[in-house]
Amino acid sequence: MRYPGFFHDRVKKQQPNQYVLNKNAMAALKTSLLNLFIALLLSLVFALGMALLLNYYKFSNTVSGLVRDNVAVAAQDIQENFGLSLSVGMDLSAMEGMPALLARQSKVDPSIIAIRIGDMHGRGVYASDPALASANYPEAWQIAAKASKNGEWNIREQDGVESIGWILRNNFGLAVGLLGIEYSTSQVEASQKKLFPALIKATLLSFCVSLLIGSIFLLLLCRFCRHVERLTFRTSMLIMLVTLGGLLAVSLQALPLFKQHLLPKLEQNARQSGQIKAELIVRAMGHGLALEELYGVEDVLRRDLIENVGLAYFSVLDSANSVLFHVAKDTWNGHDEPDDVAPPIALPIGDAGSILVGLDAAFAGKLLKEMSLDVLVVLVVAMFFTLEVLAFLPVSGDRSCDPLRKSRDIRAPVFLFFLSEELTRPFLPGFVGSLSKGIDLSLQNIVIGFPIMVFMLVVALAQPWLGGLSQQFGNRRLLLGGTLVAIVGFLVCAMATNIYIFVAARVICALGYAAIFVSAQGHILENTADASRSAGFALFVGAIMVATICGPSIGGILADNIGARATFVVAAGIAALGIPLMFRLPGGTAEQKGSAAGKVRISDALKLCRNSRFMAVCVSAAIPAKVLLTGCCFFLLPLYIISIGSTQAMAGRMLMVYAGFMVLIMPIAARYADRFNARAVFILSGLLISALGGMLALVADGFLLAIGLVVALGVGQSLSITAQSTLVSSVAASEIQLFGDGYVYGVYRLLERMGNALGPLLAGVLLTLFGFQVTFVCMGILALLAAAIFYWLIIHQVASNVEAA
Amino acid sequence: MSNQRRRACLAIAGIFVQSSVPVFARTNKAVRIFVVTFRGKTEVEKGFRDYLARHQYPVEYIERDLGRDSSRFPALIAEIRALQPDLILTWGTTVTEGIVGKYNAVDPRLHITNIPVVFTLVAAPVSAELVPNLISSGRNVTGVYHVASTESQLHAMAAYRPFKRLGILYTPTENNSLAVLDELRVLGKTLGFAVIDRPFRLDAARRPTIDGVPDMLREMKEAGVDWLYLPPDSFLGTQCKDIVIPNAHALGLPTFASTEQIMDAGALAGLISRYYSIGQFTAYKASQILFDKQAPMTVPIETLTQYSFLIRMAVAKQLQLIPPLAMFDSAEFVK
Repeated sequence: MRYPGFFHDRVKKQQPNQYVLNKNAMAALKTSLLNLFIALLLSLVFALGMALLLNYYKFSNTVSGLVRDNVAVAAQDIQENFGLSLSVGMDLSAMEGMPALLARQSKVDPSIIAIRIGDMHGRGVYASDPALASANYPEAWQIAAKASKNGEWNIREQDGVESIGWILRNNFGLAVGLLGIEYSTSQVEASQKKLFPALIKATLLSFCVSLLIGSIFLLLLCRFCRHVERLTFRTSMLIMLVTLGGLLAVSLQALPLFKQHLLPKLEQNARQSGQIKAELIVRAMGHGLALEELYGVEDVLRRDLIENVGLAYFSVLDSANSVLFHVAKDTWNGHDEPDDVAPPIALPIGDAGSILVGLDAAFAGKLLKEMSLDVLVVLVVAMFFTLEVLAFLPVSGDRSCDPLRKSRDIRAPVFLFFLSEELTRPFLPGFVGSLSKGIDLSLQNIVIGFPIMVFMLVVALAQPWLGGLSQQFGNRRLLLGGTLVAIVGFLVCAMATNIYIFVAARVICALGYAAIFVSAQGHILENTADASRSAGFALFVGAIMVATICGPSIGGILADNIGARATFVVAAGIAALGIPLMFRLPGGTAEQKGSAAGKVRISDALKLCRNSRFMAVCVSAAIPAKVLLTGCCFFLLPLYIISIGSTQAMAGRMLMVYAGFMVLIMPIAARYADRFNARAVFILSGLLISALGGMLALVADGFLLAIGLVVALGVGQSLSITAQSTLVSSVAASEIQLFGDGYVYGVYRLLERMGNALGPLLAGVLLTLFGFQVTFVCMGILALLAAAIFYWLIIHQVASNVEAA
Repeated sequence: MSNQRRRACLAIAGIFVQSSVPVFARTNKAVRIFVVTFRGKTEVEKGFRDYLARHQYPVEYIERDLGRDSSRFPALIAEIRALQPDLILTWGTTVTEGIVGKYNAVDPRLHITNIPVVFTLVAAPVSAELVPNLISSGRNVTGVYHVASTESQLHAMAAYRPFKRLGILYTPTENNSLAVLDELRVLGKTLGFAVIDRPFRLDAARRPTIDGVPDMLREMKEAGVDWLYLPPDSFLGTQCKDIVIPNAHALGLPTFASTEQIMDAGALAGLISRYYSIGQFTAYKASQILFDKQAPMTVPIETLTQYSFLIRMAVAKQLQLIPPLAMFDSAEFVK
C-alpha cells in the first residue's frame, strides 16, 4: 500500500498540464465554453445560495433577539422584587405580592404566554396564571438551568414556543428557585414569512444578472484568449469577480429589505425601552423630586443606547417641550431622516414631560457588516470550488493524451467526500458536549474527545483490513460502499439522541472514511504508470487539502445557522453527490501492483520497531505532530472558540486559516527540505514553532491566543510533515530494501494514526484537570519535549556518528 | 390539596437546600446551640433561627448575652464547658475573641477549643486575628463576616457621586480600623483620590473620646472632602447617631455607612449586609457542621454575595445630593 505523504516532495517536479493548441482546438473550445459556463453557474449557485441562507438567518436571529429582549424586560422587576423580599427574610413560598406582580409583568409584551417561578426541585410556586402556580414546570427548564454557565437559559419548547429563564439566587449565592418566561415566537415567524419571498426574489435577480454578465464575458474571453493554457487562470478570476459582484448585489438589495421588515420590531423595542425609562423617572419623582432636579439621567440613557442596536438617541423633554437631557450615539448624524427611518417615538413621563426615542437609520447596514466575514469566507470557498470544478471539467486541450486522466476522475468524488467530513470539524466537539449533558461534569471534556479518538482509531486500524477488501471487491465497489456507509453514519449522527449512538455513528463514518481513503489510493495505484504516480497522488492530496480549507469554514457557518444536526444531513448530501461521479470509474478487480508488500502485519511491525532511529522519528516527530493536530485543532480549538463567546463559524474560519498555511507552506517546505537535505532541521523547527503556539497561552488569551495557535501550528506542521516521511526513507533504508517501502510506510502511517487517536484523549484529560490555558501550555511543552528528544536521537547522534567516522 | 397544606409541603421541601442535601431524613435528636450575643437581640439571630426552622432541623437554643461586659467571659466559658453544647454561635468580634481567642494566642484554659464555633457579624476576621486567612481557620472555628470589601464600597460611593477627597474618622486603637485606613490609602493611589483621616482622641487610659470631633469634621469640610466614610469601627458605631452624623450633615458633608448599625444611625447612604441575611448564611454554615458533618476548618469564612445599597432620601434632599437615576432601580430607600 502506498501513502500520499511519501509523494509530497516529488509532486512539483512534474508538469503534467502542458498542452499546445492543435488542430482540434476549435472543437475543444466549444466543450470548454460549456464547461466554463457550468463552473460559473455552480459558483454562483453556491455563493448566492449561501448568501441567501446567511441573510435569512441573520434576519431571523435579529428578530428573535429583539423579541427575546422585549420579553426579558418583564423579568427585571420580578428579579429585583424577589431579591429584596429574600433579603428581608421572606421565604420563596411566602411572597404575597408575587402573583400580582407576575400577572402584571406578563402584560409587558404581547408575546408572553406565561411567567412562572418554581423551586429547585421542579415544583411550581407562582405563575402569572394562578391555575398554573403549583403545577410542575417543564423539566427542560431545570436541565437547561443546570447546564447554563451564567444561570440564564433560552430553549425552544415546542413549535412556536420558546422559554427564557434565570436561576434565582439568595444573597449568599445559593440557588433558590427558577424564573421562566414562556413566549410565542409567532411574531418571528410572521416576519420571516414576509421577508423570505422578497429575499428570494432579490437573490434570484442578482443570480440571473450575474449569470448573464458572466456568460458574456466568458464568451469574449474564450474568443480573444490566444493562450489556451492561461484560460483556466483567467476564467477562474473572471468567475471570482462575477461571484463577488453577485454577492454585493444581494447585499445591496438586502439592505432596504432588512430596514423595511425589522422596523416594526425595532419600533416596539424602542417604545418599550422608552417606557421603562419613563417609569423609572416617574418612580424617582415619586420621592418628591422635580424632573429637572434628577441626577445621572444621561448615564441611564447612555447605557441603554449602547445595548440597543437600533436606537439613535434619547431626549427627555419637560412639559413645555424644551430639552432637559439628551444622549445620542456617535454615529447619529444629529437630525432625523424622515425618508429613511421612522420618526422618533414619544412617550409621556406622567404629566411632567416626555421622552423621545430616535431610531438609528444605520442599523441594517450594521447587520450586513456583521456578516461580512462570513460572506468573505463564502467567496474564498467559491473560488476553490471553481478551481475544483475546472479541474474536473478541463477547459483546455484534449484529455485523451493526459496520462492522469483516470486519476483526475477520482478527484471530484474524493473531494466531495472529504469536504463532507471536514464540514463537521468546527462543531463536532460542541455538539458532543450538548449530547453529554447528563454525564458527570468532571468527565465531560474527556467524553467530548472520545468520538474524535474513536474515529481516528477506527481509521487507523481498519485500513490494513480494508486494503484486503479492495483487492477482493475492486476499488470502485469499495469506494461506493464506503460512501454509502459514511452517508448512513452522517444521518445517524444527525439523529443521535445520546453520546453512545453518536459514537457508534462516528465508528460507521470512520469505516466509510477509511474505505474511501484506501480505495482512492488503490485506484490511483492501478491507473498510473510509475512515471505519473506521484502526480496522481498529488491530485488526491490536493483534493483533501482543498476540502480542509473549504469544509470547516462552511461547516461552521451552517452549524451556526441551521444547526449541527442539519449540517450532518448536508454532509450526507454532499457525500451523496459524489456517487454518480463514481460510476465513471473503472469497475472490477484489477491486478494489484506491489500490493503484497504493502500489507502490515503486527509481527512485521515488531521487526521494524527494533530500528531505534525509525522509532525515534515516529515517537518524537510523527506522533507528537498528530497529537497536536487532533488534540489542538480538532478538539481544543473549537471548544475554546466557543468558550470565549465566539461562534462555530469562527472556529471554522480558524481551521481554514490552519489549512491555508498548510497549503501555502507545505509544497515550498517539501521542496527546500529536499534541496538542502535539511529534513531534520525542518522537522525540529516545525516542532519548535508548534511549541511556541502552545506557549502563547502563557502571555495571551482569547482571540489572540486562538489565532496565534492556529498560525503556529499551521506553519510548524507544514514545515515538518513532508520532511518526516522522507526522513523515514533514510532512517529505515535497510528495512525498505528488505521489505519494500510500502511496508515500512504502512507501519509508519499506522503509528502516526495512533497519534491521531491519542490527541483528543490527552487534550481531554488535561482540559478536565487544568482548564484551557494550562492545557495549551502542556501541548506546547509536549512539542518542546518531542523537539528535545528528536534533537538528541536524530540530529545529535548523526553529528557524533559523522565525527566518529 | 388545600392551599395551607400545600404551603406546608413546600416548607418541608426545603427551598433553600441544595439538591444534594437530603430533605426529609433528619435525625430526631435535637442538637443544642449555645448563642452568645454582645448587646441583646438583633435580626442576626432571627435569620439564623428562621433558616434552621425552615429546614426542619431539630435545634434547641441556649441564649446568653454579654451585655457589653467582657468581665463575664470566665463565667460563660465555665457554663459552656458544663453544658457541652453541640455548637457555639458567637456574635461580633469581641464575643468571638473572648470565646475562642486570637488564632495565634489560644489558651486552652481560657478559650473553647473542643466544640465547633461559628462566628457571625465580625467585620474583619483576618485583621482581628481570629483566623489566619479566609480559606480556613485551621481550628474548630468558621463564620461569616459582614462588611463589603472596601473597594466595592468605594465604587458604590463613586457611583452615587464621584469624589477626589475621602474623609475618615477612626479609633487609633482598633486594629480593624487601622487596616481599613491602610487599605484606603493604597486604593486611593490606584483609584485616584486623597484620604483625609482624623483619629479619635484618646484619654489617659487610652480610651477613645468624642472630644473635638466637630472641629475635625470642619477641618475636613475645609479641606474639600467629598464623602465622609464611616468604617466598621466599634467606638465610631456608638457615636454616629448623636454626634458624628448630625455634625457632618450640618456642615454639608455626605456620610457613607459600612454597617447596618451606622446606616440606621442616619447616614446618607451605605453598602451593607442585611443582619437577617447574615444570620441565614451563618445558619447555613452551622448546618454544614451539624448535619452534613463537615469539620469547621474545612468550611471557608465568607460573606454575602449581594449587598444592599441603602439611601436616606430625606438626607439626600437636605444635602442637595439627589441619588443618580439608575439607583432608583436597584437601591433601597430608608427613612
